[in-house]
Order: sequence, then C-alpha cells, then structure tokens
Amino acid sequence: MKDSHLSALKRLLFTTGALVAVGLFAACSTGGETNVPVSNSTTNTPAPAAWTPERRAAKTSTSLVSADPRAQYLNIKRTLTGLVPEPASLDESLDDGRVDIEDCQNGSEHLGIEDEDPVLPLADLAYDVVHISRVLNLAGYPERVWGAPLRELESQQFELILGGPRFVYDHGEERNRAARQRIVRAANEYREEEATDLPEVIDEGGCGAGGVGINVVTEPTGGRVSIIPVFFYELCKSQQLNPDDPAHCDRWREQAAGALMEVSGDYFYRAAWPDGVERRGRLSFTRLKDGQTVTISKP
Amino acid sequence: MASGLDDFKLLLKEFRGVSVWAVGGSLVVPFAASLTDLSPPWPSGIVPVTAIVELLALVLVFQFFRNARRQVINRVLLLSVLPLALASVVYLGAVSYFTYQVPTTKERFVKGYECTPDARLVFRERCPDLGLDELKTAEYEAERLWTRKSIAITRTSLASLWSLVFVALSFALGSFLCYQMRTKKRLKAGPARGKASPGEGLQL
Repeated sequence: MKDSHLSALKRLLFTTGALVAVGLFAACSTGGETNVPVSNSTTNTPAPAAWTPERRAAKTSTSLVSADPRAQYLNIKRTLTGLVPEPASLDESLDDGRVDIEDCQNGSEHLGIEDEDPVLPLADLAYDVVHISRVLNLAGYPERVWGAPLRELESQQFELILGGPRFVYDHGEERNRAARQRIVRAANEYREEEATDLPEVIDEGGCGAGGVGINVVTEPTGGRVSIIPVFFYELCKSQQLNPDDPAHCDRWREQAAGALMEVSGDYFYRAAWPDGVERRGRLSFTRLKDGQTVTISKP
Repeated sequence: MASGLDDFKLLLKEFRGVSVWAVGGSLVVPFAASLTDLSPPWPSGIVPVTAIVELLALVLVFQFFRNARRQVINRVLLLSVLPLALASVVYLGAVSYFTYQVPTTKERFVKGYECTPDARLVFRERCPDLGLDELKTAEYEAERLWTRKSIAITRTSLASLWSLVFVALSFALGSFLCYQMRTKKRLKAGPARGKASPGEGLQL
C-alpha cells in the first residue's frame, strides 16, 4: 500500500477513535444528575430510602416501584433528567415563535418501558414535569411564575395515578389539561405584565397522529362544550360506566376559554347552556383545517 | 495514478447512473431517495440511512467480487435477485397492511398486531385487524389500539425488510456492474493472453 494511502488510513482511524471517545464521554456524562427546578418537595414524595442490605436482598427494580411508587418516582425523574438531552437552543422548542409546553415525546419511550410496566405512568408524568420546567426556563420565565402551578399538576396527577383503578397517566385527561392551562395562564400573565419580550406560552401539542386545532363556539354564546373520542365513549360503555357522565367516564375534554381544541377523527360532543339546555351528538373532524371554527347551535 | 479506490468510484458512478436510468432518482442517494413514498413511516431518517446501507453493500461487493469469475458473479446475482424479489413482495404487503395515513395531515404511521386491553374491550373479535374506521374513533393514535411492543416490532420489521431490499439490490447491481466494468477494460486492452475461462469477455 502506498504511503499516502497509509497516512490517509491512519488519519481516518485517528478521527474515528476520537469520535468514539467523545461519544463515550458524552454518554457517560449524561448519566449525571441535572438540577430539575421542580424539586423533591413538589410532590410530597419522600427522598429515596437509603440503600440497605435488606433492600438489596429482597427487591428487584420493578418490585420496588410497585411496592413504593412515591419513593421511586423521584429516582425515575432523576434518571429521565439525565437521559433526556436538554434543547440546545430556544429555537428548537418554539412553535411559530411560541413556546409549546406539550411535546411529542414521553418518558416511557426514553426509558424503553413496556405497556404493563408500573414505571410507565410515573415515567410519563416525570417526563412532562421535566420538559415543562426546561422549556419555560429556557424561554426566560422565572420559576416563581410557573413553579406553583407545575407542582400542582405534578402532585395532582401523581395522586390520580396512585388512586386510579388502572394505574395509568392520561396526558389528555381533563384535570391534566386544566392544570396545564393554569401554567400557560400564569406564564402569559407574567409576560403581559412584566416581560413583553418573552415568547408566548401555549399548550397545543399537535404531534401524535395529526390533530388539527379548531375553535368550537356555541350559538348563542355562553355554552360549554365537551368532547370525547368515540373510542373512549365506547370503552366506558364496555366498562359498564355511564359514558355520558364525566364524573365516571373521565375522558371528556372541555374546551378552555379562547383555546383551540386539538382534534382528529370522530367524537361525541356535549354542549350545555347556562339555562340547562343541552345538545349532544357525534362529530367527525377528518376534513377540517387548522384554525377552522365549528359552531354548535342551541336546539 | 489509478488505484483500487478509483475503480470503486467508477463502480459507484455506474451504480448511480443505473439508478437514475431506472427510477430517475437523486444522484446523491441512489434508488432509495426516489422511492421515498414507499419507504416505511419509521424511522424518519430511513432514506439517508438506506443510502449508507447501500454504500456498505456496494463496498462488500467491490471488495469480494471485483475479480470474481463469471460463474461466481452469476451465483451472486441469482442469490441476491431471489431475496430481492421475495423481500420486495413481503415488504409491499406489509406496508399495505401495517401502515395507515391520517386523512387530515397525510402523515403515515405504523399499526401493531396485538390489541391493547382497552381495544379488546371495545372491538372484541375485530382485534387486531383494525383499520381506519377504528383508528378515527381513537384520534388516529395507534398506541390506543395496539400495544407499544407490537407497534415497535412492526416498525423494526418494516425498516429491516426495506433495508434488506436495498442490500439485495446493491449486491445484484454491484456484482453485475463489477463484472461488466472488468469486461469493458479487457475489451479495451485487446484480446486477453493466456487461458480464458469459457464465456469470459462476453456481455451478459
């Protein structure tokens, strides 16, 4: 082999080696802890119990989570904080110049967790908390603005996971959406009053399977509109729950004032006016475009 | 001065030339880029990855079969065309059965083969053979109807089949071009001296 080829080969080997070394270093360094603004105290979960010979002898990782989810939630959150890379710049997190606190990922994907794993709902909640705090920090919103409503979301959803019949975390659940709306409101109020140069904060998402944002209004105005995907309506029926009762069939979503509803596919809707009149029916949102308005008239 | 790498570059040039001739595709990413519409929905960067896979397969062909005899090339050609045909048919069937397109956004997603407990409750005996009618009731979210595990396995299988098609294609065309380029060189250099194997120097 010629000298020039040999030196080119050496250069290639050296570059590859250097890249591998940098990759290994990066992989090792991400295992460290990053400070998450929402602290240990936010969910009233105790700090992880100390490592003891008894724990070593008696437990597996999964059984520890099942036996004591409160204590393990913080471990899961710490692990996710180390695993999920922080956005390199604010531009990465902007959606048309606005900060969207909802993104297309979840914690269980990052941890490679399967459906029946008890870690799944805790990882998904931890991911949402870590993601929201990171994007708002990056956008320049101080923690004093969004910390309290985020802690409220975290503790409320944590209790729902533990108290629910099926140990699940439902990102689209009504209370979850309402809590996220409170974070959005707090941030935007701060922006309007104290820091008008900050980007607007929204909670739209729009990832998943191709939803469009629509505006649902009532005629006359003043009606409250809720929708539920047909699948969940039928699921409640199969579970022997009254699908029209949001207290039991808790997949109904109410449109927040002034916010767009993210929809895709077929839904049942319920519009209720202050005088007690209600209108129910089924709607298909497969041919609508982003930003379109749907009007529901009083019967 | 000519080197082995120059021959490989020539092979790559010929390979791209055949790609453009066959499917009118990009010169940078042969074949795969022209078939983006047929690519699996996951992972999103499958086309550039396929180009690397194609290149690697071509490197292997060049390294191992550059000077191979015609009989060896014929065998390689046959052994790569058969899996190419089989994998193509299976891939097209799998893409047709296991992927769907959301009507509003035209985005494509992968289905699974095992229903979630919730989907089993709702769709019962229709599980797991669910289509767009069932998906639109669940906001087109595949993970509501099929288990994550089955979706992940389907995604990986589709991506693997897709890659297999292009590896086989690279082997078939790469070995053919290698042989033809050598034949062309010999014809240019004049009649070969010494013993030639039967059929050597003839176009396939």
